[in-house]
Amino acid sequence: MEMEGQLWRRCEEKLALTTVESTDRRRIYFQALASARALIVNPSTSEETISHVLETLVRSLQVKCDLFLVLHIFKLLSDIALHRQHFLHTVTDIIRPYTVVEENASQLNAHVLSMLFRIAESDRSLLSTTLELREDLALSFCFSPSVTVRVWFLLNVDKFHIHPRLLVTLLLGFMKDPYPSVRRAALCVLASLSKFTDIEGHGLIAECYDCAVELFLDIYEFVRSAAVRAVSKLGEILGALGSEMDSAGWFDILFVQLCSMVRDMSMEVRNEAFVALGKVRLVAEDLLLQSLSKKVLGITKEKKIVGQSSTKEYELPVSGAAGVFVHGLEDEFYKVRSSACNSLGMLTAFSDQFASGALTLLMDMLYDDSTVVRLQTLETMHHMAMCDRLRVQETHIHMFTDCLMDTSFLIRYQVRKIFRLMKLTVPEMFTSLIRGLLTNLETYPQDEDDICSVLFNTGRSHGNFAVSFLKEVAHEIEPSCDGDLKFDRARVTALLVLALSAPLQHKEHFCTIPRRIFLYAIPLIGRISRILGDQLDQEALFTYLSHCSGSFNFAATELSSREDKFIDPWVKEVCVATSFDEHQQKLTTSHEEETDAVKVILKTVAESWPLIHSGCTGEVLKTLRVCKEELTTIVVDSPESISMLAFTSRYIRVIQLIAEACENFLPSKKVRFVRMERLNLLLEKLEASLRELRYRFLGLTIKEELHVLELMLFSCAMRLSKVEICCHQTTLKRMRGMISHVEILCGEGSTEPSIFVKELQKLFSQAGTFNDESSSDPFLFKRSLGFFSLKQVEIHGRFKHIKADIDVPDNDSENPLTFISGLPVGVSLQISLYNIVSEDRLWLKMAVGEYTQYVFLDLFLFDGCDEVRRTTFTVPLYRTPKVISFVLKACIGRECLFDDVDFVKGQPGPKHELAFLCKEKEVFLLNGGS
Amino acid sequence: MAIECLVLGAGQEVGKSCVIVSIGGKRIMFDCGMHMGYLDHRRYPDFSLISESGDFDKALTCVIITHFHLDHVGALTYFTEVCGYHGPIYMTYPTKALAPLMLEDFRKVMVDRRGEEEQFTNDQIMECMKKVTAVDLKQTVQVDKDLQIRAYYAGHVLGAAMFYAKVGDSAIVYTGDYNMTPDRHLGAAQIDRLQLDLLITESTYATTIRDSKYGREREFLKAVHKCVSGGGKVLIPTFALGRAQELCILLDDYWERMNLKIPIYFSAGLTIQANMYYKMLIGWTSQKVKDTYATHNAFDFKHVCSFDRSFINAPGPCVLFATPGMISGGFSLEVFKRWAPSEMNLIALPGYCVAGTVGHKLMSGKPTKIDLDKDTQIDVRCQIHQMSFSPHTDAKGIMDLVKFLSPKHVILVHGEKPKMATLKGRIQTELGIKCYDPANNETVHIPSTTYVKIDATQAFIRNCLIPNPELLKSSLEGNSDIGCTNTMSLPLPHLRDEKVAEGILVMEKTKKARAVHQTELLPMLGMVENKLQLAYCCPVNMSSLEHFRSHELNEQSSLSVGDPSSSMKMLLSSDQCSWLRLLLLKLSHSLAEGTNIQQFPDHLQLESFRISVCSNATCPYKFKEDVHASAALFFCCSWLIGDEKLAWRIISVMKDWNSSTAPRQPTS
Repeated sequence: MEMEGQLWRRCEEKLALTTVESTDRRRIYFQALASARALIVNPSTSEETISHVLETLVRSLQVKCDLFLVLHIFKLLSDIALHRQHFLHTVTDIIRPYTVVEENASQLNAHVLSMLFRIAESDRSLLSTTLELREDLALSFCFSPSVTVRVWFLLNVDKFHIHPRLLVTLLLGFMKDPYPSVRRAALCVLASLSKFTDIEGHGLIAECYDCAVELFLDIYEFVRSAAVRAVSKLGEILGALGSEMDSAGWFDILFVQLCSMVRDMSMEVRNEAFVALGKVRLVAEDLLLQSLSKKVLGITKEKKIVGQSSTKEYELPVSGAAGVFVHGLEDEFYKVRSSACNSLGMLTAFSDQFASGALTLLMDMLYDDSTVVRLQTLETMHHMAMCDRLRVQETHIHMFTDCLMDTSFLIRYQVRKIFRLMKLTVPEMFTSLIRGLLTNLETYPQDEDDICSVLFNTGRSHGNFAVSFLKEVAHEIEPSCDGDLKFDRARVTALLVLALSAPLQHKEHFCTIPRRIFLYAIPLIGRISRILGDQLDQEALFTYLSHCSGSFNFAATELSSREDKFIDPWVKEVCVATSFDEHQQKLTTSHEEETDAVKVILKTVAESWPLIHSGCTGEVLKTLRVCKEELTTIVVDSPESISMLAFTSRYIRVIQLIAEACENFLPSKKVRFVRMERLNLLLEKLEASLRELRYRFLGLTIKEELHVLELMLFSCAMRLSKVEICCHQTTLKRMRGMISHVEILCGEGSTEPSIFVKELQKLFSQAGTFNDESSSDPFLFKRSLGFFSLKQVEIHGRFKHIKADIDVPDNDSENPLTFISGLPVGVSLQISLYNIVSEDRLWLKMAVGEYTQYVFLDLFLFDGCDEVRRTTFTVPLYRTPKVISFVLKACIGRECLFDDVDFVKGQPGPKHELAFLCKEKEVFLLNGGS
Repeated sequence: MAIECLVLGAGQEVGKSCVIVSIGGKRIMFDCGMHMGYLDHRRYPDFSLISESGDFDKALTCVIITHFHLDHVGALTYFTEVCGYHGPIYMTYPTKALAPLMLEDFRKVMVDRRGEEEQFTNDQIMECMKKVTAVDLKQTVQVDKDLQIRAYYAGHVLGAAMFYAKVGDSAIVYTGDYNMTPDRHLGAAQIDRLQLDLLITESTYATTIRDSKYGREREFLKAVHKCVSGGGKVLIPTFALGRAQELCILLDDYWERMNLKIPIYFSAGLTIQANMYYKMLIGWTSQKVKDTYATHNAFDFKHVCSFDRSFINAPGPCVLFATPGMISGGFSLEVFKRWAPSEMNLIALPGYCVAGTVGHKLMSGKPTKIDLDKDTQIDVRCQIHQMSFSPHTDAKGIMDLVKFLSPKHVILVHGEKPKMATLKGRIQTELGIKCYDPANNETVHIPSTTYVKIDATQAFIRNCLIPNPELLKSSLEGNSDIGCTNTMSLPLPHLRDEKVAEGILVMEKTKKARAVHQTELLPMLGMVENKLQLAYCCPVNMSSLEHFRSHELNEQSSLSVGDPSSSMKMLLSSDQCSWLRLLLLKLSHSLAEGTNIQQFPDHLQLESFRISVCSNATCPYKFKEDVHASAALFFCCSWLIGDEKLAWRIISVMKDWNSSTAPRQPTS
């Protein structure tokens, strides 16, 4: 309070100064205003002071001072209104007189008005009640001699109540303004108008249109690009207004006029022009065809489009459209190429012939340098396929399959999306398409699901081709002479998927595909049904396979090849009765088996607690080691099981650490000399491992989570029960957080917390808040340790393991990257993330000796879905040491958001502790400067 | 002031580009090239036409070189060192870096290989380059007080530029060679929309229209791939700078994409050095190269290895870039001799070949045998692939540029005569721009824009810069109150063509003319404003006023001019006011709604029109016939000339009362 008063007094003094030299006065004034502003925006400033400030400001407004200061005073007034709601109306009343325009609207008027607009954002009623934004006021802004005011008016034109017709008239005038920024603003307003659909306004809009077309010749490129946008918009409105016959001709005129801008020298203008071309809603075929060829076509030679708007007669040569898309696709800037691609696709809807010509041009764009353009091209083609305009020829197929080799996941995905819709006319096309997909599978195994799904689709829609193709490759599926069934290979799975897709649509193919192929597919049923996902469920698939493979004596007639019949209950019954039943069950239950095996191991682990308690650490560690080895013998294939094993092995590791740590807390028989650092280190390791357990697995059940939390609490309690170990405050804070989390979980799951947890809860409630370091009693914690007992964790087994991979291609100690000490060095990293959800905050930690640098990983940079995300990007390491060579350790960590303990304050980097998702990757760097 | 354009070279031909442009007393030489087809005096432009005396320093203001090709820069050393020009020379940075390489290479070929007499020495080349001022793109250079020049990106080759020159109000652009479509390593030409009197443009491909470059690239790659996959060798004869880099980027990309392992060779010589320049001058390359060079310099070719002579006979497929481009001799000819006899091999010719060279023979129909000289004859069994990877713009590009710049005149140079004539016709008919195609040593005179400089007052300028409020207001005012209530009836104001700067041009003695705003004129001339006022004394039948009854009374009135105030003081009767009120009532009854007549004690007023009762029997504004009329009350009306229409409307209304009630018609 005192501070505040003092500050304000000093401020007031300065504002009252009148005797000082004018230049000096201005400076002092500014200082005073700055401190006044500080008072205003500070929420704890008292109301009293604020009203003083307000009074003084109003007083100084009345004294004539220079405009610059007045603007600042107004700024402060609006700050008061915005920060102190109840002053809002007072301030509004004070500043409203300044909106009254005397002769010509000045910058001050505009300034005050825009402040009022801002204030009005918080109170909607303000504008309508206190301000009359009538046309006469608008006009006075229009005719202001100040360019700034005119531009301001145009930017805020929607706030004024101007009749649309008057507005258009005004804009028409503004388009002739000597200042380009005003012209542009007028064009922008014009382009954003959309309500002129009345026929009477037609003439006015046509006039605006003509005026905008004239601005195509403007000297300033930003005016030209705004003009293109306005013309596109107005053209659309005018086209909509005209009659059916008229509008066709009108759109042709619009098209040719826009075409005249695609050869502009400014990239922005060209881009605008192409964007606008794509929006034309109807174009004559000859015009479109002409736009694909730079040479003037025979049919369009001398031809002219004649049209009439209400103001003007047009006569434009068709040759004006010559080759616009050729130019667009050849453009130097990827933005223009991409817009041209998109527009080309949009226009294919009007003509089949144009579509096939456009496709020829688009094929070349598949090899473009820019990923954006390639992606846009594929999207365009997909759009064409959706509109049934994609006529792919045999020569095109290899270009598509080349794209499947692209490093970008999105591009490959988009190509396959087109494949799903593609109509293949000859078997050669089919063959090369399938071969392309198979190569794709070999190069990028992660695409397997999508590839198989495409194979399934394509096979179904082109059954004949599929059958003949399968005949060619049948030998690949067959077991080789040494009896090695290569079923585990992705390629074989893919071929099997193709094989079983063929007869689905055409049942005559049953006989043409060797029955044993279907038999081969049966063991892979889980995998295949996962791949096909929504298209065929596992049961139906099994029925279908059993039927096709002829394992059962079904009458072929009773089985329709339609999918929905497969789930027929009768068929199901038969299935269950078959000898394959067990096999199938085994497949589906394999996960449970694995879970059982893991449970056995976990039981062993839990049983070791009494041994730990009794101090037989050596034996316990041996047992745990064996348990770990046993884990490796469990064979798994599903990702869930792999995650489960990862969880279990980490869990065992935690218990190992606990066992080692516990040794130090037991009432020992022998006197032990333990160095504190060792215990500290051990506890740190334990905490890190627990963090991994908690933050690296998705889908933990409440019981699992409670168990992990209890272990964490235990490790914290261990830490607190040793006087010698510091960081009590942080640990206490963390424990409190965990205990409340446990409470929440128990409330949800209606599970009772263990005795140990209850004891801790009691401890915390008794001791209040442990605000003081001294208030925490290590002996209390030591006592609580006695209540802990390790129970068997009830594992459920449906985890998702969060992990990450970092790789630095072509880098090892033999091939180091070069750097120049003192200058930043870019390190190119290939990062794969597994099971990361979009809310996660990930950090890349780069450590060089003592120096650590954190880089936030924006998930937008990654391709792919939650399961797998990948990217390659270059990270700068800013502080390179002055050495000949060094090793950079890179690691990815997930921020532990549950931990509300601040990790590092005031530094760029994570706000919470990190759970590291991968091993540290070593990057070797060599000084290139020396 | 006229612009004079003397074409010393490249007039209706390709070679020795050299154009002298005189604008406003300044003479600029654009390009100073040599003709590669001649060995005699025709090789250089005829410099004697510039100055008889040979004092070029006086005759020329500056020399501007657009790019480093010999047909644009080849004669420069000769001109400066032999002819003795010492004035300023301008070119872009890359041109300054690369031009000496080209000149030196040419000198070596001339002297060492052909054994010609030396025209200039290496030292002279260096001496000449010292006089060069390097300029950057879009940098405005003030050559002297009046002459400004500016370079714009032209594509074509590294460092090629178009030059804009401006003297006073006249401005021209000389394009040099340019390319309107980007290629693999260079961008498209880029220029602002300028106000030009003259555009001098190249017209190498005056009638050709090229289609998509992708198709051309595809064919080239297909041919090369087919050859190397068949185990053949590919020879690509190119110039060291330009096409070689472009094709190499293309091949390198393709090799990467197709994962080919076949070596691509660059024959040593200029090329290695040239590649280095390309790597350094990234700022002058295309957007794509600029965007990516931080991670990968497009000129760091992955698959390119340097060549060793022993590789010529080594077995296995390969691709070789060799100089010179037209197989006119040197290394490319040597390799050609070895590789041409095998069907497996391919010769890919990327561009234009001058008549007489082996390249030209290969391009004009597939020969089976080529005679190199009297003794050697080569069997040509290999495949030939022709490409049109030209760095010149095509006809459409020229038209596009001309259309974009819309100059007042166009001069075509650097092309073949018949084709230029066709293009000239197109420019004149399609774009309506005057076009010329002068031959060598011809001069074209074109008129240029001349602006008369005048002063302008502040008020005038301010008035020009704001939208014309008077016009807008007057068109809006009449209906602004209606506008709010009944907007549909709002008449559309037309202000499109009315909005011009209004002012008065004043020519003071011995001073410059200056534009002033209307309001400033009188104080400036020290005059008092005189207003022209018109007056008419209108008789109105009293009874018609009093009772709105008809009485027969009708008098003929006439118009007179003079001082209206003379009758004002004469007050006839006490009911003068009531007469006026009656008149007002009646007038507002008869006139259209919305006219707001103001009433004053002694007169009525609408705009500048005022009416008062006239008691002067000999009022000068009465017509003689009217004087005798009885029972008529006279109203003196006066108005300014601006409101004449309004005045006559009211007077006719007033008279109508008389005539409508009177059977007697006016007598005159």
